[in-house]
Amino acid sequence: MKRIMVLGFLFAIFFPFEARADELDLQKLINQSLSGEELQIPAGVYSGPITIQKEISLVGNGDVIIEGDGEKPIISVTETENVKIQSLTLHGQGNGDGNSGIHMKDVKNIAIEEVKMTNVTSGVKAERARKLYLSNLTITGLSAHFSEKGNGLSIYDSDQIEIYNTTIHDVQDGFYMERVEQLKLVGNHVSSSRYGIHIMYVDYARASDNEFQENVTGMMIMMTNNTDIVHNFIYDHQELNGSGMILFEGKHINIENNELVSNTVGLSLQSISDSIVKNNQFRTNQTGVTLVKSAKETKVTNNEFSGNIVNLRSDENGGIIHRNYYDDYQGLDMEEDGIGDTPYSAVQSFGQWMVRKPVYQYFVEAPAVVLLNELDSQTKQTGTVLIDEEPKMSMTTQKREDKQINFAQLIGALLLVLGLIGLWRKEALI
Amino acid sequence: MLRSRWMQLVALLFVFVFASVSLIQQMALPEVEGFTRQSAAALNLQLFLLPLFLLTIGSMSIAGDVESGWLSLLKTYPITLRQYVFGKYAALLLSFFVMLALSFSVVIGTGAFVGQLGISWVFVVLSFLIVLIFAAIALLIGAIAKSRLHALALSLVLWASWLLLLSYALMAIGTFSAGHVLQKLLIVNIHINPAEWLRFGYFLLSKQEAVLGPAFYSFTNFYSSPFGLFVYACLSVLWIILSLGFAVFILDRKGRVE
Repeated sequence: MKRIMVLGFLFAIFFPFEARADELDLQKLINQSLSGEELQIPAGVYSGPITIQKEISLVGNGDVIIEGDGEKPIISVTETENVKIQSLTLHGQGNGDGNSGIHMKDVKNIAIEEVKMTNVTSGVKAERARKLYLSNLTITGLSAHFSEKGNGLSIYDSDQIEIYNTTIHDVQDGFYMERVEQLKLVGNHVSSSRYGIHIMYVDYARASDNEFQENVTGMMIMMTNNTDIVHNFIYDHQELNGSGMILFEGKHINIENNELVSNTVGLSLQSISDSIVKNNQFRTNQTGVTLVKSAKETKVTNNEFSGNIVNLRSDENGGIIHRNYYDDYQGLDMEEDGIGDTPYSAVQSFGQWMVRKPVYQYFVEAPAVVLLNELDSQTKQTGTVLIDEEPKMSMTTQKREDKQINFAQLIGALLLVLGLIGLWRKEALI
Repeated sequence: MLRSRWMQLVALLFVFVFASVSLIQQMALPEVEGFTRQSAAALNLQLFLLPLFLLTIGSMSIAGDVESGWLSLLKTYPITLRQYVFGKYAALLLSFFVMLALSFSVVIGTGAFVGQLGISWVFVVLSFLIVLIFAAIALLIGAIAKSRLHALALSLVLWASWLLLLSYALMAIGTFSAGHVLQKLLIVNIHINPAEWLRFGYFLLSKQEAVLGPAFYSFTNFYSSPFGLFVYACLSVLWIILSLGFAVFILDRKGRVE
């Protein structure tokens, strides 16, 4: 008997019973609440889906989990306004289209904060929404191919959308926005997805202080005007066709103070006009910037290019490049004004070939191409496109940390060198 | 072979150049994963220097023995041609392995000052693979050559062709042929050109196949699978076995003709 009690005690410690709160019917509580009321939900596990069609605040009090049925969105908000959803965990089932977190339709003035969504095909979907405020969401998608996943947040035909500090991974597109006006994305993090941000037909968007990592492409921005992309950190997009940022058919786009590091292509501008790319850092990308049909009034200025295999490449139209820093610039600054005395030509025979015929990418930084590029620079075959008349001589944002000497590594290497030299001498003496 | 002054000078040159380039790149660029200018420079240095040294030293070693009559003398001893070729191969491998280990140690040592390890395991494996394959090819060239000078000339022609000329020829063909034609020619080139085979191996081992671009998606997809990697290993071994086997065969035929 004593033994059974001890085993029972140990079982209770290691396998605690989860408190189910099924006796509390959430939908019933919502239906019974008055318009504008704040509903505090006690900690526990609840069954979804639930539908909200009135002004209400749903606030989790402790660890509140709502489970979906895999067929309908866990929470649906339709034809209402002034709704707040806060401090909940939504747990999806299965991998069908209906397995989504929150679905909103024809809504206004909605705030969703501190909501965690796990095992969902898609996180939040909104159609015809106005004044959406989303912050501190965490969305974890499924382990499946991109084609079987939904988007983290997808918003259609809406305006005045603000999304802050949201973490998304393993979805198709982190943020998918279509026909949206006045969009603000700040401090978000998207990883291991197809696109970090995918926006189409959006006017007046601002993406700042976001981080995109190891997606196929960090930011895919199409048919979009009046956009600010500032202070984002976009890195490790190294898949086939992977890019840090792709902009296609847009006007009045300001790309400023971003860091694009270790991407297949850092920034690709395709049919972009009247835009500016300034004060960005392009580091260790295979190609820093690609300009295709983007020569018209689009200026690439005051950026820093370092460690990229190809800094810039373009089609025959070229692009306007001005006062950038290029680590492969070989000119002098006799006047000591910080600007090189001779123009910088970004054109390398090989870089141009890669744009015209993608199969040439095979030769990227191959021994033969390295020699060819060297010949290019020696013979000054500069061409007429992608010329920076005033290249900068030094980086302004370079911050090199003071490195500590690794003594263990140094001593180990020294011992190895001495040992090998000893071995060599011994063999030579025999 | 380590006693040879020629070999010692080569080792000194190699260690100096390799360590200098690595140190400069380490100081100039941040440590990042992936195919960067740093890894590309180091890879190209290995692809340029190691085959050049291996082909010239290895081929002249056998051609010199044939030319001087040393091989004929050796044949009077109880030693088979197979043992002779494998002995040469082992000597060449050990000499270059020591040289590589020395240069890696120097790079790791200098890396201690800039807070980086300085070298990746993929790079180490690939360097040893370069030695394994090109040492075998060098002995085959030595067996084919009639004299030391002939061996030197053959080595240089093949080195330049594999590293530069074939690539330029393919780039030129690409200017007037369709992309898919060039893609197929490049795949053939990877299989018949040991330098390209090893460069491709670097991308495979470092999981950086995407560097080659979307045109090679199916090809890289196959080789990056477990079966593809097995095929890669088998073909690499085949390069070595065939080269050494043909070297023995040619030397044997030469002996009979004499």
